[in-house]
Amino acid sequence: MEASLTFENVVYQYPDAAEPALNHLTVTIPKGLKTAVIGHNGSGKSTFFLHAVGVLRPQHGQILKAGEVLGYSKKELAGLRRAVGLVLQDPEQQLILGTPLEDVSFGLRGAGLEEGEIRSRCLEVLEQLGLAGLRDRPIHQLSMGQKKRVSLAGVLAMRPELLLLDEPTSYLDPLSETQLLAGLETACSEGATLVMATHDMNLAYRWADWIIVLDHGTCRASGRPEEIFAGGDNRLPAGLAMPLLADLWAGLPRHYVAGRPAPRDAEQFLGVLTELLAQSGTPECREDGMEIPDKA
Amino acid sequence: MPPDCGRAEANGAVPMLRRIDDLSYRNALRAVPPLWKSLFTAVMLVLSYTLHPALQLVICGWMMHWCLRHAGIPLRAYGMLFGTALLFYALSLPALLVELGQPGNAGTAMGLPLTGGLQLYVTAEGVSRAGLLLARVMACLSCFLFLMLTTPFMELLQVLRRLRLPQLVLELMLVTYRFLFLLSDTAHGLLLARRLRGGGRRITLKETAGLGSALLAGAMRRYRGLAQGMTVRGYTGEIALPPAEQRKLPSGLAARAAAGIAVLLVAQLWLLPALASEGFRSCGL
Repeated sequence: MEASLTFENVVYQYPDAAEPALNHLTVTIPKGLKTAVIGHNGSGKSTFFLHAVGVLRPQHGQILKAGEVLGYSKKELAGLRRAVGLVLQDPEQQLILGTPLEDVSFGLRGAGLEEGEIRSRCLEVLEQLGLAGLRDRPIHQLSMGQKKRVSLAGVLAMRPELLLLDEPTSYLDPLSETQLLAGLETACSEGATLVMATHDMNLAYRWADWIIVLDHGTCRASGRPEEIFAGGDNRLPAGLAMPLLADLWAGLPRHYVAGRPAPRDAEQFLGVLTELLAQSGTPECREDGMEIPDKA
Repeated sequence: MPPDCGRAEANGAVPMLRRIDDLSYRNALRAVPPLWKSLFTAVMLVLSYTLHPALQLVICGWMMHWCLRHAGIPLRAYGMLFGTALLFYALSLPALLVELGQPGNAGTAMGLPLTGGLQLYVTAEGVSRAGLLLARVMACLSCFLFLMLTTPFMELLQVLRRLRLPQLVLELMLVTYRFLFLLSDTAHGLLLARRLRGGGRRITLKETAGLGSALLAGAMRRYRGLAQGMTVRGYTGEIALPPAEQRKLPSGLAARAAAGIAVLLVAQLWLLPALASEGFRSCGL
C-alpha cells in the first residue's frame, strides 16, 4: 500500500501542557483511500492534522510525504499547503473574505492563478457543494452548515492531493451532511486522498476504507474498518462506542455470518439479513410485512 | 425597495455592525460602481464642509433621499443609525453651549446664578455655533452613511487599493473587519449564556469584570484560530484581494448627481450672496 503521508516517531508537546499531544506517533496514511481518524477529545487528532500541513513542527521524529522528509522553508511550506488541504473544525477560523465566491478564491489567488481559471474553479466547486445560489451573500449571514461547506469549497478549489477534515460533520443537519459527503466523494473520485477526524463511529464505519485509532497521542490501531471493529470494542480506547452495524453484526450467531464480509451500511446489512432468513427457511414476507401464504 | 432590504430591520436583535453590513450588500445601489459612489461621496463631503449652513442642511436631505429612495434603505434602520451617531453630538453640547463665569456684556440667552457672582449661562453666540456645527455634522454624516450603506466593505477596500493605499493597511483593515464579527459573536454568546443561566437585568461590577475577562480570553482564542486558519489556507504574508468587477454606471443616476451638485454650487455662488446683501440692506449697512 503506497503511503501518502507517514509520521515516524513524532513527538509534540504544547507549552505548559502536562503531557505530549503526540507521543512517539508512528502512523501511515495510505494513498488514494478514505481514512477516518478516531479518538477521544484530546487524543491528538487536531495536532496530528496541524503537523500534516506544517503549521506545527515535530519536536522529535519526522514526517514524510511521498517518501520525502517534510521541509519547513517558506517555499517548501507554500508547496505543502497547495498539496495538502485542511478543513478546520470551526469554519469561522478559515473564512476570511466577504462572500463565498470571494473567499473560495483566496487560496487560488495566493497561489498566483489567472483570474479566468480562479473564477471557473470557484464556480465549479460552489456548484458541486450546492452553494451556487449563495455565492454573493455575506459570509456572516450563512448558517453554520453553509459556512462549513464554504470552508470545504475553499480547500477543494485548490485541488489538493491530500485533504484533511477535522470533524467535518459537526454542527451539520443530515441534509448538509449528505451534501458535504457527496462533495467529498467527487474529490475522492478525482484522485484525492481523504482523511477525516470524527467522533461519529457510525460515519467512520460507513465511510472509511481505513481507520486510525488515536489514544493519548499514539496510534492504538490502524486497519480496515472490518478489522478494527471485528473484535468488539477491545481495540478502541475506553468509552468509544462501537458502530451500531458492527455491534449488530457481532451479535448475530457466528455460524450464520462466518465467512461473510461485514456489511458497511444499512442496505448491505438488510441484504445479508434477507439472505440469511431465506436460507433458514423463514417464510417470505411481502413489503408490507404480511406473510406470503405457502403456495403448496 | 429591494425585497430583502427590510429583513435586517425586522430582527431587532441584529447588532448595528451586522445591520450596516447586511444593508450594504442588499440595497438597490449595490450594482453601481463603488468608485463612482466613493467619488460622489468625496465631492459631497467637500461641499458639506465648504457650503453655507443652509445648503449643508439641503445636502443632508438630498443624501438621505439617495439612501432612502434610490438605495431602498429602510427608514427605521437609517433613522436609528443617524440618531445613534448624532448622540455623540448631543453629548458634546454642554461643552459647546454652557459657560461658567460672569457673562458681562456678552449676549446671554439664559443664565443660572450661582454663588459669588458666578453664573452658568448660555450665550447666543454659543447657540449659533452649536447650530452651525449641527448642520455640518448632519451633512457629513449623511454623506458617510450613503457610502457605508450602499457599498460593501470589500468593495471599499478595492477602491482604496485603486487609490494606492499600502497593502499592509488594507490587510489590517480586512482582518479588523473580519475580527469585529468574531468579537461580536463572542460577546453575544457570553451575554446569552449569562441570560440563560439566570442573569437578571442588573449586572454587578464583579460580573462585568468576569464577562470582560471572558470576552478577552474568547477574543484571543478566536484571534489565534483565525491566524491558524489563514496559515492553513496558504497565507504567506500577503492577502490578494479579488479584483473589482466591471460595472456600468446608470446614466440617469449620474445625471441626477451632476445636476444636484450644479444646483448646490449655483445656490452658493449666486443665491446666498444675494440674500446676504438683501440682509445688509435691511439692516441699513
